Amino acid sequence: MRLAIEIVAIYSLYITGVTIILKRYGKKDTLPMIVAAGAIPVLVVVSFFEAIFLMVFRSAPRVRPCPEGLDVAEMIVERHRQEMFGGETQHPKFAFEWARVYALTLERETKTVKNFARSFLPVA
Amino acid sequence: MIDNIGGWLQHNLIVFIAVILLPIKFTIVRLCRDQEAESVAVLAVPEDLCYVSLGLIAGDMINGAGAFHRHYAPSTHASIDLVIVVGLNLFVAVFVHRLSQICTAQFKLWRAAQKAMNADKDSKQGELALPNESDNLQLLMNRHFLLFCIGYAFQFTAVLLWLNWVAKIIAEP
Repeated sequence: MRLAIEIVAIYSLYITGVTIILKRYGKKDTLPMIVAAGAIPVLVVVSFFEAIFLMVFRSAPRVRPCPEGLDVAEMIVERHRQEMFGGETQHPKFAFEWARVYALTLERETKTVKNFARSFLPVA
Repeated sequence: MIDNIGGWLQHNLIVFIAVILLPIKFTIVRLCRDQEAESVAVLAVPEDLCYVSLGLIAGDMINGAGAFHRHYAPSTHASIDLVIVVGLNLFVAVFVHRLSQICTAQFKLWRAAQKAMNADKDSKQGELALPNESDNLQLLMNRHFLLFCIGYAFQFTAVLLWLNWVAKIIAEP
């Protein structure tokens, strides 16, 4: 009971913090984002168990192809960050990593298909 | 009734901090109308809680009849136990600070992505405009905000677990 009360108290602090941040700096869709931010701690716990489930029952998660122009958009965001807050340029890697993981997934799938085909068709 | 509420809050230290101390901090920063300091104050809350707990432990250690002295009284090396408790608190503070650095970086990137979304587009660009620009910026904005929230929530979780343990010892009869 005591721990439950404490979790509620700390969770309310988290919600207060995120609400202040969104009210002060959010440009649009403030209310839906507050609701989404409130659900994130629950989603993190659910995602943890989902990840375990996927690890047990499936070999690897499906990866969508990286959207075109994401690397350029990242550079634009980085430029704005530097203008607003200063500091050294940090080279964003999200788009690069996404494309790399997608390429690896394709390679793995190709290998699986090749092995499958080889078991049926004679190799020239 | 006030006495009852006061007594209950004394025995529920975390609730006391959440209900009394931190709203006062938010109100004071708000009253000062310092917009940039507001985000710093809000992002520093979990770290503040670490130092509140360190203050509680240090204050209790100075008092010979304090809760931590009583808790470790049966131990043959009580003073080493107390030093370990302070060391653990410092470890939690370092962990929370590292998370706070990541969280602040994501917060800045989220604000930069918002600014990029709302920046005026050059109509002369025509076909040279970037592909899927607004979709990509929206994706990056959501990603940075999500990572910020996860980092912030993890900081609070670490602090909650630590404060829960400290509060339990302090509330021991």
